[in-house]
Amino acid sequence: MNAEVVLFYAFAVLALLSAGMVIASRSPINSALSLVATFFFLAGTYVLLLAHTIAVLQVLVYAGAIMVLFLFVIMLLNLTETEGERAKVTFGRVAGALAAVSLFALLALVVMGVKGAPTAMATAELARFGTLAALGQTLYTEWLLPFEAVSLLLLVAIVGAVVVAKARI
Amino acid sequence: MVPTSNYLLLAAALFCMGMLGVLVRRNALVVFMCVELMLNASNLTFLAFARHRGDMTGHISAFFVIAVAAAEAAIGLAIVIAVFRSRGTLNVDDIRTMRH
Amino acid sequence: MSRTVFILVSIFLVIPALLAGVMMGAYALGGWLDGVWFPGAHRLTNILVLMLVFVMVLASLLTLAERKWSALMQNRIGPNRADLFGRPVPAGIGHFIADALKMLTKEDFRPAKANTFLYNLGPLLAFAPVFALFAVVPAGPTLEVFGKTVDMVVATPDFGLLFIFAIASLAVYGTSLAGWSSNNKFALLGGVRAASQMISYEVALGLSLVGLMMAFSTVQLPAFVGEALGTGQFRYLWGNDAAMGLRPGFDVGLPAWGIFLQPVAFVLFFAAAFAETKRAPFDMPEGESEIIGYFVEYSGMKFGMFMLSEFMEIVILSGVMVVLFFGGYHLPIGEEWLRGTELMRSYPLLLGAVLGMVFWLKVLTLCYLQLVVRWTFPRFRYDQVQKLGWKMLLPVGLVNVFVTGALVLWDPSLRLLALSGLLVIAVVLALTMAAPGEAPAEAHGEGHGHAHGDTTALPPSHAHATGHAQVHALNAHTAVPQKLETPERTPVAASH
Repeated sequence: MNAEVVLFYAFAVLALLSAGMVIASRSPINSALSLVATFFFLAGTYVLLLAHTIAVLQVLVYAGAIMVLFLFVIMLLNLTETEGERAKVTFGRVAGALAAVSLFALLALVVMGVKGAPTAMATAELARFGTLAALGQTLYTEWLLPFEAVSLLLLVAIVGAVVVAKARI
Repeated sequence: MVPTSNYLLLAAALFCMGMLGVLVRRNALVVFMCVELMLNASNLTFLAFARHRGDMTGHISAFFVIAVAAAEAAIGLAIVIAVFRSRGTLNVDDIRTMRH
Repeated sequence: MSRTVFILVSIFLVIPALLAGVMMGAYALGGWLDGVWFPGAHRLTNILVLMLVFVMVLASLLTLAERKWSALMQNRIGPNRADLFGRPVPAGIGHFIADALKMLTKEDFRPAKANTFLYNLGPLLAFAPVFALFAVVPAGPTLEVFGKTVDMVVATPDFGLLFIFAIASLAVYGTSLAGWSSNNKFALLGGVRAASQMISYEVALGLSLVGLMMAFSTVQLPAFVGEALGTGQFRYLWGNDAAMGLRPGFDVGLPAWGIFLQPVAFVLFFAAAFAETKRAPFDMPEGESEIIGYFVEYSGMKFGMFMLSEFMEIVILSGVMVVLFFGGYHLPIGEEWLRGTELMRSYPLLLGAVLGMVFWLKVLTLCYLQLVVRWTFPRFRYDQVQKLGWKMLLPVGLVNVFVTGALVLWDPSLRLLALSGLLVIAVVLALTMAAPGEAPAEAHGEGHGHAHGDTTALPPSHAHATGHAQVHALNAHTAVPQKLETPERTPVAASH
């Protein structure tokens, strides 16, 4: 039992619990806060996978920007309790739950086939793995075109958001 | 050492929970949050495989997923606000203009 | 007279000596702990000294400093009534203790129908991220103390500045949740305003530093400061240092500080970070005069945590600005000479004390600057805040990125960048001095337009102004009595 194992199971259990809270809470604000907690625990597992740059980006973008936007919308629309959330069991809901469970069973079956531990890396390689410098270098050399495409996508998203916000639907 | 399959199992579980939320919840905002949860689960898969293979391409994918999620949140929340302004509700069962 | 002597002595002797003493103690403690426990244990004492002693104490002293300084600027005396054991205490220090006692002993009020869990979580969420921010700010050089290598920073992650952006973006949760959970319409308004304002300014905050990252080609704060001679900001752009082949007794020159390389970025970062601290002129979430703000339902220490986190943000923002733009713990000139002296080489603790003192003196100066800004500028209207963020700071930041990138590519020695920076500083200074009868404008060209609008309202003595700085200075001085005669001009006269 080393620290990595303990931390992994702690993060995993907490992430699953808070993800359950996202689905189960009745008020949207509790869902949003549980989701923020999930993102933090997931960032923890990212660090265990030596992806600390992605972990920081996760906190920066997901927790710091996207979820704040969600919170802002919830507060702006003043969504207190779940409006019209009918708690009755419908055919669609049961089917949805069954679909989710069977998908999990299928995925678990596939995933258990992935054997073995992570590849061992040399010290120099390990020191560079997951750093901002390494990520940036790969991004700006091999993946330059997709990177530019994503920047275009963000631009389109900004324009689209402005148009949608101004238009009357 | 945690075997890679444990990370993948966690990701699968989170993905299915997100899917369950999308299928079961009726509040458009919560549905949206569950989509974010699914995106995050896919990120965890990418990173787990990146660590498994010692190859940072998975990090690039995760980076792009985060960027796309940001774009999606911007548009999606704008739509949510617009829908709420015109319909006064966020229940996905009541928003059915496009049906028929 | 004795009051002036007291202030001068405390500014030039007591405060530097105190800072140097504490920093020397911090180094000694770190070296000792490294020896008796494990190598790297000094990071724990760094947490204690930097975050608890320096940031907390400075932040709580700033609460008093702000009251005193606002009193000074408004021609009042300020708090001077709290005695300690029946004896009057100088500089209102007694109020500092009285305020703390009052906050701790007040009734902890909770509004009916408030969401209890979130209501209690709000102050913690506002306080904790701010507290963690200082972890990556280096406050002193790396030294050999008692045979152990001791540095003055809590953490040196390879993503440096991203940590600051990530953690700073979390501070908004406390603010907006406090507004939401108070079950009060005004608090909710404050929370919504805080969320939108902080999201808007985060963009400009990040963008403003891209130029600096390109110039120093790093994102790590210790690398910005420069540990070894000739790296980061620890070198001269023009000077008689060793790199020039000269070895004089005392080295002088223009240091490669961020403020000379990126003055535009400094103004952008300062404005954006000021908006993140939510203090006037960006106090929309608080809005003292209209909605009272997101913490209207909080009392006692819970309110105190909101207030204290605001003051901690001042200290931390100053620390970050010192590291990025003002050379961190480095002296502007003569540090090479200082490090080379026999005394400093045989007693590294002394060097740590001196350079640590330099860092904290710079931080104090910038804290003072923020207090001045807070009590000088009028508040923005809400739409003006958003307009400033999206229509001014963001485009200017983008242009700055492009110009900086081109100049850095053209001349990697950064001298060209420094020339353009100095040019910008000169233009700003000229514009500021050429604006007659007007408070120093913001460092963008638009300040000029405001100045023209105001000249029409000024007495005729200003009409024949020729654009010469001295003439204007004279005019401004002669105009003061005239202004005092007309009551509506007095605010302008006071801002001189």
